Amino acid sequence: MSHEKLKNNESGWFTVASLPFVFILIIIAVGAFKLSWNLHIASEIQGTMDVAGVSALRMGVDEVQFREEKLVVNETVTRNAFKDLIKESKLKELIAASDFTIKTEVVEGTGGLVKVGGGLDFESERQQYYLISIIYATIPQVDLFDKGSQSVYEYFDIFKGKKFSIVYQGADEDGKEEIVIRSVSRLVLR
Amino acid sequence: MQENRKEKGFTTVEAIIVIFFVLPIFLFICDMFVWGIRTVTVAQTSSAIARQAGIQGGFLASAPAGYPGGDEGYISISELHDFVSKRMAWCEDDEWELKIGSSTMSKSVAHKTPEYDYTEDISVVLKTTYKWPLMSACTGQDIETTINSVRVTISEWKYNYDDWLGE
Repeated sequence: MSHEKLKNNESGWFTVASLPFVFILIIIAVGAFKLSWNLHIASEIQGTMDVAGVSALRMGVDEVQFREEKLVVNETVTRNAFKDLIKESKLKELIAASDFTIKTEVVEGTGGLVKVGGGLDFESERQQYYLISIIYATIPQVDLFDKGSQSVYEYFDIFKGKKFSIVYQGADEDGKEEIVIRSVSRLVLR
Repeated sequence: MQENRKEKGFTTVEAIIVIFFVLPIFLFICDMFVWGIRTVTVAQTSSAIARQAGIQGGFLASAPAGYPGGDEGYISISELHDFVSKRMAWCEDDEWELKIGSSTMSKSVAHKTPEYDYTEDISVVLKTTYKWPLMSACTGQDIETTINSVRVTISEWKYNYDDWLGE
């Protein structure tokens, strides 16, 4: 092989090699866009749920009992108020969700829970109520990044004192992504 | 001499690829990250405003009679304007708009909100634009995206205790 030929080979090889490099960069750019967009969606849903959760609990307070300094929260009123507030915030339209399910549960603080983070003092017991809300949504996703059809996450449930798992099941590469967001709000009588 | 010319050609092809593909993609990713940070800032700011609006029942010029802590414990409309202006300082020349119910607040205008009585709905909408500065400079066109954040809450403050519904 002559010296002349070697140089020729070198330059040809380098230019072809840079094309895959460009494609990889495009994939990274699309990936970065989806990542930022998902981050935006997650913070929007979480923020809306947190604000609506406290308001919904406040709506459910029994006024007559409250005047006697007793905290009683009506579960049906709270759950309906939460759904109304989420509906009013137009969250479903914002994230362009095709499937949108809200699950709520109201738990009264009992046993060890009434001492959890009273804010002022931890020693005395406080009447408190929790609103556990979970939103399941299906949002559009780029087919290429829609990997993983199933995943299981384990969390600790303070209400039952044991671990629980959230199972997520969907189809991969169908251009749809399933997301689950859970929020816990609390109302404490001080 | 012959060899030198060949090497030069190779560099030109590389330069074209870099200028037309790699550079715009790199600029896009940089802009993307700034956009991501801004959306999170907007989301957190609107959450904070909505929670405070719920507690106070809107934002007035000064604390209503009987408010616990008086003016010191109350966020007035001018204090709110300072708070939002600081949080949205990254907007630079971009305009931002905050809507609490029917009243609008922007960089230069701050009107007090109506009095939202106990259990009345309050909607908070924080809106701003992102101009993608690097991508705009690269393509020579004005690219603009609106960042929008909506929170709905209820008022927890009773203005007039003589007026109760259903009694």
